[in-house]
Amino acid sequence: MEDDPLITLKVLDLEGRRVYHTMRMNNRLQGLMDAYYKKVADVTYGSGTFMFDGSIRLRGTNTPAELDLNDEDEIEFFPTMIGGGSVGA
Amino acid sequence: MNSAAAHSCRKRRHADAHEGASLPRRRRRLTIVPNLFQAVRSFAIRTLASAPHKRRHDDATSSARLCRRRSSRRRLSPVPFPALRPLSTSPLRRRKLLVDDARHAVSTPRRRRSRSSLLPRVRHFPVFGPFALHFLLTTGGLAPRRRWKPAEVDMGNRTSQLLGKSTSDGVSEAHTKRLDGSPEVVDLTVEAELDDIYVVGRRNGDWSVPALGSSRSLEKKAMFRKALQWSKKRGGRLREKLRLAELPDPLDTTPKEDLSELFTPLSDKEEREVDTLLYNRNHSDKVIVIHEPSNIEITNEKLRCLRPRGWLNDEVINLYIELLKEREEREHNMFLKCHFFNTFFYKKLTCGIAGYDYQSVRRWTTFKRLGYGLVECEKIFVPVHRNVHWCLVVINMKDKTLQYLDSLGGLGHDVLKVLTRYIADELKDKSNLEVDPSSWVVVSESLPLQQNGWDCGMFMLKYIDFHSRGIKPCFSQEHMMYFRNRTAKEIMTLRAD
Repeated sequence: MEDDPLITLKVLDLEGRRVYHTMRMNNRLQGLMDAYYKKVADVTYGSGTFMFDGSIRLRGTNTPAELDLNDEDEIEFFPTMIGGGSVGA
Repeated sequence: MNSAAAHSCRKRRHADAHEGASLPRRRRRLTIVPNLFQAVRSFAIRTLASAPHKRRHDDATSSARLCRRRSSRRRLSPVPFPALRPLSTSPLRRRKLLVDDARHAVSTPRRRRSRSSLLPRVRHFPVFGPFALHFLLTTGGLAPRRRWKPAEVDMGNRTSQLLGKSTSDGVSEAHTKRLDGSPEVVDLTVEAELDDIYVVGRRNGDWSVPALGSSRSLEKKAMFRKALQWSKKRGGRLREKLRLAELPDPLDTTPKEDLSELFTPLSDKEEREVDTLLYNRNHSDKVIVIHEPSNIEITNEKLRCLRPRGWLNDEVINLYIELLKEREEREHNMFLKCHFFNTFFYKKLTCGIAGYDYQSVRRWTTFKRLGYGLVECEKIFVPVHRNVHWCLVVINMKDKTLQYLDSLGGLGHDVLKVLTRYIADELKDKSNLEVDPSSWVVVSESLPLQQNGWDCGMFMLKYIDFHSRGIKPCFSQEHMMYFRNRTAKEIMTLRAD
């Protein structure tokens, strides 16, 4: 398996929680997302967005190789935001 | 019925019988003997003046004085009845009847009495004792002898006002009839012309005529409203199209044909497609579109936020922003060179304990990633999500202004403070420029504002749309339904125009 190395990705959310997940470059990123949702109990499964560098969006069917992710890259997690008009805090 | 109630009923019946029997007899006797009547009247006045309520002593004496004055005028009157009335205010009798009343507040057959027997009834309220007497002397005692009907109306009015409730006796019937606008009552009030009646008639006229007029105009209003609703329903879509086609006043310098493009109505086919898209019964997780360049996928559930009253979610907003980005790249000459941040940027910038973390977003705007620097852009759009509200900051790098656009009219000083700091840090980091953008902040010009609690996301997207065209936002709340459908269509076709 020399052509499919292991990488460790870090998921960081707005509360500052960090979740590390080690996976292969050609594995689906769904594993990383599941790991995050499993660790962080108060976030509804599948309710947020995983982003890399603010512009690359992660989908479960992608692999790190497809999105050009490298070892020790930091993935950001954002919970769903909705808004209608009530005065914000 | 329990025994106490039954007892009280019996007692009441007895009281009724007693009253019914005693009153006419006494009256008859007094009518026959006028000298005795004089004596009785003076006795009544004396009783009233020395009434046990000290607090109302002045009232009592004044009404007694009044009574004396009236009666002196009345001496010429052929019928001496009215002056009798003070007699029955004797304290002993009143106390007895008060107990009776307290136990039987609900209307009973006893209430269905002729008008003459209603008059003593007023006396049973000890609080109004002296006042009631006053009323009886002024209105009942003077007016009704000469003209029956208007005074009856007047009495009914006054009595029910006094009692604070409407009873089912004849007086109140007349009163309610008058309120209902019965024509004969109106005629009476119009015909009232005698000096004594004049005041009464004018009051009646004042009450009844506007009441009639207003009720009629209310009916008319309701009718017109119904007709308007009907016509709105019928021609709603056509009117919508016409209104959208006719342009709002151009606040800007761009030619008119550009504006008409902004409000192009959807074709019937497109509207049908949008309808099926928003109201289909597919599974909510079904993916409707995937935007390949940004990797955004929109599921059925996410897109449903574009239904009327839906709160826009971040994915729909981000996809639309991506489409605006593509539009700008596609047509350089029509649109300004802009940078569109996504909805996550401001969240990330302000996360952490300090409320500001430039390092966390430093890599978001590298030249390598964007292909341009922020300093080259004419405008930078920053969607701001605050709790449950979407608003926008427009940073104009060319004019050096910083503007907070809030469809609820907020001022956003805190947001502007954060972004002022960000611009300074960003320009220093990427372009090595020392800038102090705190002087850039401008209060936004008159903005179209939302009139409800769900359209702020749509307003924000349209602020971006219009500003990226170099046009001031010149839409209003009424366009939001159209914009929602249009956005759904543009997301469906993955192309913004």
